[in-house]
Amino acid sequence: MLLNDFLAKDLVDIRQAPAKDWRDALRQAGAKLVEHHYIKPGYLDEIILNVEKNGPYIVIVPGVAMPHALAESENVLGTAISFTKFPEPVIFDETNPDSHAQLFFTLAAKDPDEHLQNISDLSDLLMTDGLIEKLLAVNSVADFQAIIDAES
Amino acid sequence: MNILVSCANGSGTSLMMMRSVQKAFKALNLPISKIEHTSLAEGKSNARSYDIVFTPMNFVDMFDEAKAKGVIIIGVKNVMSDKEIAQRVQDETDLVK
Repeated sequence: MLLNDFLAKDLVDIRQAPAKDWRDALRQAGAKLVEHHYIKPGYLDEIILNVEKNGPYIVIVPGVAMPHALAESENVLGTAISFTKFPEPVIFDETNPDSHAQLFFTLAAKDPDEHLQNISDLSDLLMTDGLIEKLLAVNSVADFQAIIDAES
Repeated sequence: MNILVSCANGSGTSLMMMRSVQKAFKALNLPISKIEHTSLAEGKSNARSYDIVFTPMNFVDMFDEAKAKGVIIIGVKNVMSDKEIAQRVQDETDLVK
């Protein structure tokens, strides 16, 4: 199950300080993927460029962002999703009240089949009633672990 | 029914949407002969060879040309919601008799 995977791969980051702005948030939300060599730091520049060019559509529902850029990028080394939570909502576009996020699921998609499975699992996870609210209330990795224990 | 799902990069959002569309069509009992996900750049030039295009709401305008050629363009707010997609297919097309 996906929630377990996040912890097993050390891809959970519960930030205690707010991000400076959305660019800073996107960099922080990719740090674990860089640390574990799923992506090169350059991929984070591509993610930021993607939002500059296409707008905050990576906010898939208010409160939840799924940062990614082109899967074919040479800066993508492996396949994984990281989870990062910020203590305050990150605003992407001041003029769009729906474009804020506190939960960030950053994608690295080298292997198409594995990635499709990850996306399916993430979709199921986020459509689970009440789970987004639970994740928003998480203040530590231990809290995250508690949600896993309760769900499984 | 040939379906295209398209988002900026063709690898994250569109993939999620593809899955929701498949679920929605199953729920509506509508057959899918072909479903593909692409980036907007690719989608824009291929759109006319599909019957329906699904894309996040803010990219709907990108498909005006295909729309003029008779392709059904459906904008989606929550790409994870098969319920929203099923509702839009019912409201915005005459596929469900």
